[in-house]
Amino acid sequence: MSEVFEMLRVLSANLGRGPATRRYPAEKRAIFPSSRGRIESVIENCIFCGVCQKRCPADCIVVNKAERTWNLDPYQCIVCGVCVEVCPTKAIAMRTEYRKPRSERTPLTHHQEPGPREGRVEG
Amino acid sequence: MPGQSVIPFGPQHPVFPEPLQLRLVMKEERVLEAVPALGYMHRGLEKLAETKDYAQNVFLMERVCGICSFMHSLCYCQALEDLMGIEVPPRARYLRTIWAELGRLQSHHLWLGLLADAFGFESLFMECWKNREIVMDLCEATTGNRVIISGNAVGGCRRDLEPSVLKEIGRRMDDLERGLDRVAPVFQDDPLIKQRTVGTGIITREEVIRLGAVGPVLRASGVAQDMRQLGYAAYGELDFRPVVETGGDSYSRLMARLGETYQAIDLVRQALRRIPEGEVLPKVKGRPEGEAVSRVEQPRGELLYYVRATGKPQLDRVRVRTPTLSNIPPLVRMLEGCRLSDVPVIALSIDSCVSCTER
Repeated sequence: MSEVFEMLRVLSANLGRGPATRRYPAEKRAIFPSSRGRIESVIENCIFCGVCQKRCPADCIVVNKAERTWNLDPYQCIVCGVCVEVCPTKAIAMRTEYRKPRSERTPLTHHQEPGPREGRVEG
Repeated sequence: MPGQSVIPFGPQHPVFPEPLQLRLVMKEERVLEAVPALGYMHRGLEKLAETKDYAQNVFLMERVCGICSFMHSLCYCQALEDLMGIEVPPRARYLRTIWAELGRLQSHHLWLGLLADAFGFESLFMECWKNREIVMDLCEATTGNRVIISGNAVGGCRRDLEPSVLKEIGRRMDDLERGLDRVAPVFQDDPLIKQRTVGTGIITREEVIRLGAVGPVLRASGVAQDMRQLGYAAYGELDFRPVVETGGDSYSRLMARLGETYQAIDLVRQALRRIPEGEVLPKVKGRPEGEAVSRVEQPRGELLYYVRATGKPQLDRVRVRTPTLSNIPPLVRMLEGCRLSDVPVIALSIDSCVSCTER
């Protein structure tokens, strides 16, 4: 008999409560400020030292000093954030939103225009 | 043999989250013998670990397992710290304990849900996984990712937690305990669950010791052995005693894991109360040389890492021994003589993790 009362209690409690799940995609969970979503380049700050390429555990970064390019394969990147930590000039940033799905696997190439950088003596 | 038949159980079976095959030699409805077949998930991670430097390997070792990933990086880092003579700061040791116990909480909740699902008890499965989301959210809020949390580095932790975040973990532990209080009596007393677990897959204390079982399988047969007794990370400073059951059947293994889930909540609270101030990641210098062994208690049992280095950034050898490998001989013993209808629940009761077993 007590099981019946327990069942009625749970039933009435559940009727009064909304669903436990979110109505995705209409309702989305707020992104945590510390979420590791995706890596982005701030190419203006890059000095092409190549530390990120050397330390990346997934081998997804290629830095080319001669051509002044910074290349990331976002589909190989594990978003660990090591490159962001080791970058001496804060040229790589971590964003909280993840990268949107795409139908083609194209690497991201950032090119820095040659010329003196602001606040820096070149040569 | 006349009157015998062989039923392949797996590699794809609804109760197994990962591929493991058991060839069941049957005489009518009884299992005479179970022959395990492994090797569906081999990825060559140990070999890959020899090509990367020791700091990069932390991220690789995390990917050995998708459920207990933090424990793998912890065990690997401990071996390296031992090799390089690095003293881990006290705050980092406490943070590691908190993350390790959060990992155990999510792993045990996942298993409780899977067990309920194996009975066809859908609402209990959903309730367990709803509670698990609390832990997953905490992992993401504290480290930036739900499962592969990347909290470890050789020498300490990569992130420090603000006092407000630590307080939030404590608050969420209260929510989790309330959620667990709702499902625990069902696991303990429900006649349906008892019918499927009590007295099935019995393995005695002598047999688990002889066959080398580890983790909850070992403790459910009355052996009080847990790697956390070694006192790694901050466990030596916390009030910890292994959860021991004596029945040796599937029900005892369920109760051992349920008890450990409550204990993990308690350990997180203890760690939150005692966590000291200070740095979390000292500067690491030098290169590893020599060999070291490290052991930690994963949700499934004892995890062992052996590391050998010759003074280069790359390691000479990384050897991983995972708890599921140790628990397969006991599983084969448990299945002998059981009914075919009991095989799914017994096979699930060792909480096998095939991806780390085969790496």
